Amino acid sequence: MSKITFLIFEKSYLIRKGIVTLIEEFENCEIIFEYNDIENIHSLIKQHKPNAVIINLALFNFIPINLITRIRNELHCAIMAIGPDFESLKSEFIDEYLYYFDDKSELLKRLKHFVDNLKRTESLGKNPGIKKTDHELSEREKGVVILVAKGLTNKEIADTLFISIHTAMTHRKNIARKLGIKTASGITVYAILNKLIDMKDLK
Amino acid sequence: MKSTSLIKANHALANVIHTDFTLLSVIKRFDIKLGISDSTIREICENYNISLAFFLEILNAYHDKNYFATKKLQSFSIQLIVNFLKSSHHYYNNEKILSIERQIQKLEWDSPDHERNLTILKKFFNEYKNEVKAHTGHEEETVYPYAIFIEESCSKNENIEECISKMQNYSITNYAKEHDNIEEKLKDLKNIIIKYLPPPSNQNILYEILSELFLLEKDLSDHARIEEKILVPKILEMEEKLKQKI
Repeated sequence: MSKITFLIFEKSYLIRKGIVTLIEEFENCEIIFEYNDIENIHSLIKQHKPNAVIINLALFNFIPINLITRIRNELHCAIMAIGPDFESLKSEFIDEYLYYFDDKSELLKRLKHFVDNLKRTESLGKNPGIKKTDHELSEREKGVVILVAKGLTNKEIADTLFISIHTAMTHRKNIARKLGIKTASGITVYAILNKLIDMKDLK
Repeated sequence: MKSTSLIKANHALANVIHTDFTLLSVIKRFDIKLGISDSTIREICENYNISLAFFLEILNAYHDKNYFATKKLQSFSIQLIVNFLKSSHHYYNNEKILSIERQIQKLEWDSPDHERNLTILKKFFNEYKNEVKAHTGHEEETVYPYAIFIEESCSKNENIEECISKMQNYSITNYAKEHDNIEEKLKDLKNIIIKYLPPPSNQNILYEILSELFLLEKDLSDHARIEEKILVPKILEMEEKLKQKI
């Protein structure tokens, strides 16, 4: 099996070395290079073709979106962000996070999850930058989308479909994850664009 | 100057702009005109009579998500912060959002779905626009005046009783929860455009709208961070002081 390779972009020498130590705990993993800024990040990734980059969040935020998309989609590189906290950030471009203040077991757990995904996609020869989650809505979920679009609350949806409110909420969560759309108004737009309901049915 | 380093008084503002162009929208809100040659931030602040320390804090807070102004924030008046936040609101409501709305109007589809696509997009954006307006309006009518009243009473040591009764009706602790829905709608809109909207014949406009949405999102989240990390703690501190005076 070929090695999983990483590039690291982190300003702090101390933190870089911390990451290296953690990565060394995993078999078949190799850090190709470490950098303390993101100059030429695109050409570096192009040149070294790593499976993933581990990058400081503050640095990551300076990469223009179009470059991030290219790194992920053209260079098939997964992204792990590291930082003190991610309260205000839930970027869809980041595959996994490591928090500065997590304890070792939590750090290893997250890294293992990340590395396992990389290994799986590597062996499948698939694009590791894109999560292989199923984005298709099930028939049941489509039904829920229609009810949400018609303006029903979770409680009303539960009553209509003879399911518990808890199940209704789970459907809502899964729909949000699959579509990348959370709000009821957003789901309504989706339903109309995909002809699940007609404009006339809107209140 | 490196991309993540601290912005300081002796830096030329021109270089700062080159390093992080997203700061342009902030600089504009201080009514600074371009044509600044190599003037330093200090010189510009003197010319325009802007508080240097405050301007630097705002630039750094927008420039670096992880920058926290906890030590220095005590030195600005709430009025100064509120004025800036209000000018940001004006920028969102009367410039940014209106210009995105005008762009949406221009979208065209060659298919019979033209009317449907445009209507549903306009409807969604209109809801968003009204939510932002309601939210900023609430802040300007309720939160900011409350903050300023508390600050004045605290510094002049008067109206303590009125303050306390106001505090019982409205404490700033309620406040931090109110930002989420606006953020979610904007995220949804980005995904609708990226993933689900059938491509219009004038694709370029859609790309422009999308870039504008990303910039607006960044600006709004920086704005919220200034409220949550600077304004709220400052008011909480004063609420505590006032409680001790009774």
